[in-house]
Amino acid sequence: MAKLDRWLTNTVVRHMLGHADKTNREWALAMAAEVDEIAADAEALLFALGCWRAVLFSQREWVIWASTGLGAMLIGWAGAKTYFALLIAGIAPMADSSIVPPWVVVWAGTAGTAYCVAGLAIVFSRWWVAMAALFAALVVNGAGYGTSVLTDTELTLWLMAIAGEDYFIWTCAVLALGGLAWLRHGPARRMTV
Amino acid sequence: MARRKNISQQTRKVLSKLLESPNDWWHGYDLSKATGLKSGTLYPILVRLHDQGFLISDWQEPTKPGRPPRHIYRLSPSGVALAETQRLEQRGTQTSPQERPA
Repeated sequence: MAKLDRWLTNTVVRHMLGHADKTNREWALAMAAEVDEIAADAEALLFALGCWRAVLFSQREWVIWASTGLGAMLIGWAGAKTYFALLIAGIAPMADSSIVPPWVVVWAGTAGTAYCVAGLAIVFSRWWVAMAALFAALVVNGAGYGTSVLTDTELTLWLMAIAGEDYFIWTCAVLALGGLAWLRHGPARRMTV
Repeated sequence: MARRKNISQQTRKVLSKLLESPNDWWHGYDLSKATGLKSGTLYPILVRLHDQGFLISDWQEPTKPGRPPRHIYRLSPSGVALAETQRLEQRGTQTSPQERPA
């Protein structure tokens, strides 16, 4: 356990120092030195985690909160979408797959996966992956919407409604992503406690 | 009229602890233990106080070989004044509860 604690502590400190920029490099080094002084491993790990949070938040507090929120929203939407796919595939409870063509399952599942990838990418600040995943979700949703109109199934109306929701989510996500990118690359923001 | 500084209870704790011995230097870990504040709360407070000129920091050479130098902190003259003001305000609040808004 002590070895694991030590390894985790070192990993956290390395990550903290790796992410420190010129605005808080000195503070990150000061915190790392304090962690080095603590003999108890579990305590050192907790102390290091607090320092890591302090360094990251001092650089881009709002970006972290906003990206976590947006990522969580997209992951939640992906969960809803995946449940929808399971529902119409007849796997989930209350499923009724009698009127649903197979492409709907593929459509909902693919779009759900794309949203999930986008959400995770935003949480981990992988902006290009997030953009690509959101673009994939847009294409899949467009295809689903188009197919539902062309095939004129009984599902058309509520597929249109769901596609509409998707476009709303997609628009919000893109706008928020643009805002995050601006915050990330815009003027440096310092935390006020 | 100048805007009154909004100081959190945690910041007051740090100021009060540093004011106990204003000429002594403190390490971050010792301050954390003395105030009971976690590092994630303490360090942003130290950074802010330092940026605002209320805290002086310096690097202390390691006492043992192979150890990194440590940051040390103490109140600046303006920090001492701020801490004393805060202490007086705190005492005033504690001694006259009838003056608090209902």
